[in-house]
Amino acid sequence: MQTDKTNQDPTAVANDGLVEHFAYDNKIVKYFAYATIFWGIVGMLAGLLAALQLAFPVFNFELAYTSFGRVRPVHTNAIIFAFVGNGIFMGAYYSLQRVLQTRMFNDKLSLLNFWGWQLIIATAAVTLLMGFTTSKEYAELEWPVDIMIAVVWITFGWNMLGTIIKRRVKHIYVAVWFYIATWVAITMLHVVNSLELPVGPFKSYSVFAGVQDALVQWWYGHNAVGFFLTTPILGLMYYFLPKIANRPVYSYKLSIVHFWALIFIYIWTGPHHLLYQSLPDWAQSLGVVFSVMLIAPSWGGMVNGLATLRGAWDRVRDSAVLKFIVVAVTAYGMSTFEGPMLSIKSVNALSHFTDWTIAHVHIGGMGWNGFMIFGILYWLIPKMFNTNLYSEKLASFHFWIGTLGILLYAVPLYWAAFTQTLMWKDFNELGKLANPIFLDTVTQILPLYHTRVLGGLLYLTGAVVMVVNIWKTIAAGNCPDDEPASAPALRPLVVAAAKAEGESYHRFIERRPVQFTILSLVAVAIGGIVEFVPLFAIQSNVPTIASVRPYTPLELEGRDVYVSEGCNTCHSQQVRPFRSETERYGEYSKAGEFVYDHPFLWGSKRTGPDLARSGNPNSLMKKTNFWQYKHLVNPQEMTNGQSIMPPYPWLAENELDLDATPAKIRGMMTLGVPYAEGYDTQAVDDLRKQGQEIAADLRGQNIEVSATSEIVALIAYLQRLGRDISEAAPEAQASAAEGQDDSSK
Amino acid sequence: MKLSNYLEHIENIEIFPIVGLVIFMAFFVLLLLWVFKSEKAVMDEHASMPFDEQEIELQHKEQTQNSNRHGQ
Ligand code: HEC
Repeated sequence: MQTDKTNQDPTAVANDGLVEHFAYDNKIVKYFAYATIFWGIVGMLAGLLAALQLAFPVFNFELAYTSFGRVRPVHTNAIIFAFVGNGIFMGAYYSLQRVLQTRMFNDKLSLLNFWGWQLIIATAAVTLLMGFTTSKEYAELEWPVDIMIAVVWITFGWNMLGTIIKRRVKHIYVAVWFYIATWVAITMLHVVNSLELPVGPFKSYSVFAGVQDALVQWWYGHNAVGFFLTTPILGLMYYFLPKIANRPVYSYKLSIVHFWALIFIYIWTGPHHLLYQSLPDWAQSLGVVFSVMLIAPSWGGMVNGLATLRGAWDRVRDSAVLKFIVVAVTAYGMSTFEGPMLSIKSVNALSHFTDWTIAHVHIGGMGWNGFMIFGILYWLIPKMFNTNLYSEKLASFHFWIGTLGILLYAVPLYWAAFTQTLMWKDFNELGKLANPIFLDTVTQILPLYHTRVLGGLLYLTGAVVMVVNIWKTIAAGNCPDDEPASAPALRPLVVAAAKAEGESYHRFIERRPVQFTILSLVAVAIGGIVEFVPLFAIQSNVPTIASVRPYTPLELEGRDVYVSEGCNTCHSQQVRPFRSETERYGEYSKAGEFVYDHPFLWGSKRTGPDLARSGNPNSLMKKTNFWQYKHLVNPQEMTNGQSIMPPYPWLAENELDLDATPAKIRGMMTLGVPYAEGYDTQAVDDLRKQGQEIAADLRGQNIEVSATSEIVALIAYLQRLGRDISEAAPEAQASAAEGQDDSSK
Repeated sequence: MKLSNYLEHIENIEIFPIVGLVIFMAFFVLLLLWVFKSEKAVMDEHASMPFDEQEIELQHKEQTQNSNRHGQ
């Protein structure tokens, strides 16, 4: 079906006859394009390294800086914020100027946005590799970087709103709505999830604890997917796809419904990351209901995208750009179908903690985000450089090798996930776990991890081919920093005028950017408020357990080592209430166990076994200090060379920074952890005492290690995990328990 | 630091999720009504915003050519 195109100039209504001449800023778009390509390669290389490490632990290089727990956040952050982030800015800066018919609001803000963002990325890479991390997924960066992000993000918003306000057209095109919602939602998410108390230059504790921290984190985490990897890319889709196909969007009405429904629903779905975990049932159900509903607007968007290409299908065969876009939009449809499925509790019971999630995000990341950005680059670069793409053949090669890469990456991981989850849950005729040794379930899927490396390698190869192609294109062309343009002036009065007679409210709101921004904030805030207020307000949602006490100073330091090494990237601390898990690990996890956990460390992936019961004497997970020491220094030696856990020999050499300990205790006290008044002055002495006990125990087994080394602290922490609930609430230890008296009533 | 101390006593707070769902549904229904009532010409005009005038003319030509071709 064809739309009856009007030949009318969209700005004609406001045209007072004066045509204004100005120039689009192409330089900033070009900068962001280069940054997208550069960080894309870096992020994929980091991903390839991480994949290699899971297949062959030697690639951890026995170095803190290059071990998996630190490389994995570098990979995810580089892909999300550096590759896709720069891609979003590239597309937004290009399309904003065109659909609003004006230059960006302020060139200085544009440059601040660009250089600020690159500085953040560089700082992020360095600090993450040094082990400065909050442990919260996709929000790992420590507080100074969080502040930098806030500043640069506000710069972007200011620049964008300024541009919208000085536009020369009346209506604000739908792509821009998606950019506005992105900006609003990310601002809100970033601020709330980064509420943390600094206790050192690059160290902070989340102000939230346990269940509440988990809920805030996954409200953030899922919406990082929703509002950083989806809404802005949809904005790009609504601009670039019609341009590339040379067809207006299939249905503008659908795009409006798509927009509001999507931003409204997305924000509710976070709890689907916490199904069967220590979260109240009503919160889980809410997450499930909204996640399933999300399929409708997502598919509406996909249909709108694909239907826009109607009539251009014949060109798909010879156009690499169109091929990338078609697969990107299809991948969007696939992952937004799969997402709701994975949110259904019975499916989630199987898929969670396995490689299924990893496969799922790579359909979205490599397919939807990656291919969208590649398609846009192949279209935009020749256009801006006033030349043709150097080689259509190479672009086509990139497309095919990239697609093959995605398949070889995802399919083995789906297979691995199925295999492993069934092995975890398998019982033999005697009613015992069929695979009691966790490592057996890892060894079984190792060949699939090898194939996954190949998939990543192919995908990266495609991207490298793109670099060559784009390089040659740029060399042959010329991109003036300023592209001349002209448009009729829009009388400011028309924009500012009150709602006209007979005009609908939406139409009115559409041309008032500030009001529009506030309305989108309301839409995204409702979901958050409804989820948080009850959980924070009602004590009964987090029943406390009297025997749960705060960590000792040594355990607290050990916990910080655990965070710093990224042990949580491979280990969960959350036993779900399934027989297969309680048999393997011990008692299932309760909300009340985590009330002193700033931040929570439940994890999202079990590459290794759950550690929630590592210190529980009733659990099979409990090991001796000696075993823990030997295993941390060399996991392979303890497992006939089979383990894929990285070795951590440096932990035995590194000393804890005891000067920082009192500040950490004080920080915890500020957050409500009931240490006795003035305990910070005594903490280091207690720490030494506890350390000496462990060191003495190890000395008995011929291991000489400092009582204040990182490994001793980490062992103390592991020995504490899950121990409290094995003990009856001790009356004598009332001193520690007293602080939480208000909650235990 | 404990926000919860202040909010603890909001009565019937469990009803929040239901209220949220109702707000969403109401909003969504109104949105649908409004969208499907909007005029097609205006929508088409908005949809053509990414294009310059020449591009729109070109699209027009292409479309008429296409329909001529199909008509033959
Ligand atoms: C690359 C993923 C990975 C990382 C990172 C990792 N582990 Fe492991 N871990 C494993 C795997 C796989 C196993 C199972 C095989 C084995 O026992 O080595 C395991 C086993 C363990 C066990 C033994 C559990 C038991 O009782 O059987 C402990 C304890 C442990 N890891 C602690 C840690 C700590 C502490 C860190 C951080 C310093 C860490 N792991 C980092 C993958 C990882």
